[in-house]
Amino acid sequence: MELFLIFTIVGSPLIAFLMIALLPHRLKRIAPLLSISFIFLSFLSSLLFFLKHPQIQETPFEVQWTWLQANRNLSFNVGFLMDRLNLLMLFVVSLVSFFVQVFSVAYMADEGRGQSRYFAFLSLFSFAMINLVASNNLLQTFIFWELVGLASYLLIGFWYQKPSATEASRKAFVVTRLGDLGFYLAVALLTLHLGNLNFSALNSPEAIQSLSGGMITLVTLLIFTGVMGKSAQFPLHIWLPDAMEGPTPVSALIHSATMVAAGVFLTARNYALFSASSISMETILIFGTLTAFVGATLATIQNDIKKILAYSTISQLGMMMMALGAGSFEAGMFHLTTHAFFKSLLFLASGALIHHFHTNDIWEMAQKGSRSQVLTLLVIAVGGLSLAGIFPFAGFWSKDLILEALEHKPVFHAAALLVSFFTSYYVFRLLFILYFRSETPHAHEEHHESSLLTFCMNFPLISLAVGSLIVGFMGTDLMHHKLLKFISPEAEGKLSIELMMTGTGIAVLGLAVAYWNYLKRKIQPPITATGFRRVLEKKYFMDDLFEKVFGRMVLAFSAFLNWFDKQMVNGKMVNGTAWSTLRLGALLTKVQSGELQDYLMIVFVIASAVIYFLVK
Amino acid sequence: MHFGILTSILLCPVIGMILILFTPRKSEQAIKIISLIVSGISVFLSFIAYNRFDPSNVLLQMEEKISWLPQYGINYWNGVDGLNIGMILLTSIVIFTGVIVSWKLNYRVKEFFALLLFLVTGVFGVFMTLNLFFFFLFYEVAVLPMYLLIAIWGSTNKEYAALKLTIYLLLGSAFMFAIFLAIYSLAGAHTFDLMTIKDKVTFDPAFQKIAYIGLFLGCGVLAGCWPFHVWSPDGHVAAPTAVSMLHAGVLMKLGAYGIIRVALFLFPQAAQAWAPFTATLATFNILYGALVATQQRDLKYVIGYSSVSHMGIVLLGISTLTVTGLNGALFQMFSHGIMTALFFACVGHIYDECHTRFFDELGGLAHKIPILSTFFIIAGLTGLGLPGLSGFPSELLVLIAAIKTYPISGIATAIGVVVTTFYVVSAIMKAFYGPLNKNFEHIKDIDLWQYFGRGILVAFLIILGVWPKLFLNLVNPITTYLLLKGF
Repeated sequence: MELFLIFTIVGSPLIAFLMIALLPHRLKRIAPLLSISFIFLSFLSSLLFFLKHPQIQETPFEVQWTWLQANRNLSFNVGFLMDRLNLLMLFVVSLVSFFVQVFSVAYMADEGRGQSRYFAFLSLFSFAMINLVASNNLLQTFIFWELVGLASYLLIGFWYQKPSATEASRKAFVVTRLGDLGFYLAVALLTLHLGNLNFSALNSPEAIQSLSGGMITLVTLLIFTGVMGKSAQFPLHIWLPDAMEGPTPVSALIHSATMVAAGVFLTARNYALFSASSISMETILIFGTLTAFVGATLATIQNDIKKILAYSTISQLGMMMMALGAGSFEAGMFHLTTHAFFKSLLFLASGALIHHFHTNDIWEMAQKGSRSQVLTLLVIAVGGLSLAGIFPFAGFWSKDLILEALEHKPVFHAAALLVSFFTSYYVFRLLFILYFRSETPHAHEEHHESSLLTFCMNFPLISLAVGSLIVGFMGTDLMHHKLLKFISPEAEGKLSIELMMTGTGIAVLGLAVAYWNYLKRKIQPPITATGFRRVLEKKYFMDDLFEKVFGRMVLAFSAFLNWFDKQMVNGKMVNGTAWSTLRLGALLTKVQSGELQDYLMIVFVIASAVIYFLVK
Repeated sequence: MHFGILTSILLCPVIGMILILFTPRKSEQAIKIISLIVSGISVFLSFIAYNRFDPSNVLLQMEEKISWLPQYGINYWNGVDGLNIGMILLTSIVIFTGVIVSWKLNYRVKEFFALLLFLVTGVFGVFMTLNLFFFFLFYEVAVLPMYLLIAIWGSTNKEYAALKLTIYLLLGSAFMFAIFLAIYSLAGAHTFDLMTIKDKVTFDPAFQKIAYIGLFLGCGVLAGCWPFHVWSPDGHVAAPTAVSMLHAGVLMKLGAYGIIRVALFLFPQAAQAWAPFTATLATFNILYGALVATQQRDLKYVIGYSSVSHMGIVLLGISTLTVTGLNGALFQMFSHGIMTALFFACVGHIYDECHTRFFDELGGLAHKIPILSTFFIIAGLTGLGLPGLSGFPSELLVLIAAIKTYPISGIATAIGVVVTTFYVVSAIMKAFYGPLNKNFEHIKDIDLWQYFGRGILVAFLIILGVWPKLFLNLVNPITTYLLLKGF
């Protein structure tokens, strides 16, 4: 029965993918229905599994089979592990996938034939993501880690006729693969040194003892480079803002709630291993802080609503890594969960706006009367307040836990507060512009969408808004820390009043500055770039560094090799050999002149030489 | 001796060729059908052989031995073990799909298919023979038709490429043959039977050293070993589709197979001594091929250089001299064979429809030929080592083996994967994505028949990627056995 449930959880999206891919043309219309029902099935099965095993905390459930036999002593397994950590992730992934897919029905309604391709890719993504989460060993996680990367690549480039979209998809794929280079090497190293990649074995005290300290640091840092790529940590975050070229529901699912959180999940999954190396933990903390700061500051100057949210995602992922680096496993995972809800909510809501106004620019939206979209703005407010960490929205609880975790590291604590300030600033900037700076909506041409499509758009928004509120409360005293206890039974989750006050104070400060700038001073674009803003507009020069410096260096070197191959290896050596052979032949043909005198001359010379040597 | 299944496989293309020679030039369809049938039978027979093959038995199986010139130790001696059963299967699959993708060919059909089948006879022969003389003979049979096939039916600088390829490969085989003769007379073997030499003859260490590297480089030419790789991109580009498929898919594997079957088999100690050197060459292959591929503007050149890079993984796997590495190398040979065949099958259709392969002129093809684009993308994803496709397990095994013995080569392999990602994704972007070029409004996607041909290749990539045991179970016992007893 357990096995059957697990197979339903991990297999249903695959069935959906295959069915959609193989569907005959005239049946392609049912693709959304298939995709949605199978992901819902997956969600139900996880729920059922949890209900049947409420005690999963104490006794994780694990099955495995041999996948690949490398030699007599070394084999790789395929298997599934069910414990609280991945059950939580399974809920998040399948639920958010479900809502996003429902929303997509409305959002992609005009796509026509592309729709089935879209839903096939979404199902492929859900399949890979669910398997990544349910896997019981590092190699299998790596396999699905790559496959979610593939789905992300395909979906970013979904509108492949747009050069900017294909460029963005290429960038995303190559940059994340660059990070995965480390992950790949870590898999190979751990295989060599441990021979068993099961998470339970990797994180067991014996394994940690058998590895030298340097090796643990090396391996965890290598894994972390993979995490940097996928979870968009500085400086490999550069692909994520570009990834916004994809359809907005995709951004909501892959580039905010699930795939980019996989890195955080992976770190949490191997937390014992990571904790064994203080260097790695420090590195994670430092990079997390940098990422949070870079993301939050960049978000403050964006005018594209999706870019604001993308940088905000980067920044929030940085916060999660900070929590993990500071040693608070539960704070990181709790924030991952709340973030998944409120950020996918924000993305979907922004998708609703984009769908309505046909622009990504918040100023243009305001011009076209964004105030008319009451429901959408309301849910954006719920998501935004949550993101800004305002009491009592979800983000408030999880962010305060992170601040709590950082309490004994004053520098990082201050940095986190600074990030909170910027976060609150860009959230209120967005809200103020969309609501208070909005023109009065003119009597616009009513384009009626069918009630089904309206439902498909509104249902996920409302559900996610309610959901994100509930999830927040589940981590608090009011609900006896249900969610926190679920993540980690030892979690206390006590929040001190002072911390709450500082957190809220900082958020209010952000609000005040945003109010001053956008409602009092009425800042309008275009804004001339001066001072630090110039650095921000250049995105801290990271894109330039990668594209113009590293990229060009590699390409210049390749061009040199290409020249070397064409001119030296091929030209000088190969064709040169051929040429000299021909010349030599031509030279020798001269000997065969047909003139008797020449021949006699040769005979004479040779004969004299022979005689000379004989006599001597 | 039971029903000689290996000889039957070998005879399939021969019979096909003879039948074609007796078919009137005008009945092109009949010629194609004959080729399809005989290659179909060879696929069928290969599968029977695969089925009958017992992987747990490390000895030679399905042996066939006929005295030929016993005075000189030249015997027609065939046999399979885990090392070559997969290669025979690969060859039959590639020729079968190769015939399908050549279905639209209309220039000198009779000669084309006759030569194609002749070539395949040679390839089958090399893979199944256990006699060095026949090894050389079949090798020549495989190489010589290539010259005509490229020079007559090719494109893009075809005479130059054909000549270059032939001279290169003959040079490689001359090296090889010189070593064979040295084994025969200098080392006093007085036989060409590989197994007899293996059991009876002890070689002088100095001779071993020279013989090993001679064979490695001689076979390495065919395997595209750096710096003797330059014939291969030119040859791939110039050859007609089916020949490119065979050429990159199977012929390059002959070289790698020769290294394992003869060089490694006879001179394991010398292999150990030369391993750092050969691993270095292999590393050059991987990185150099991948980096040069990023600079190409012709779709076929990209694949040509990607082959150089991927064959480097095979050579690196061999150079590690570990079970894992050899398993990986053999797996990569099979996987790469199927993958490049698919690559060339896809590019062939593009060239037939668009009459160009330059990125500057292509673009947006996915709008018009979505199925073919999907197939190309699958081949590309295999090339960049995406899990779930057969390129991943093979690369993983080689990486694990290499990171232990030659860490730098291991890291280079992993970097090669990133570079490969870049050029594959760039190629897909430039050729298939973006706005459609107006000239290509009327190009057609592949029909059901062509879909079937390429679908077979895709199926193999996916099945082996998801379930690598299928292949590894074949090779693992023999590699374990060979390395345990030091060959």
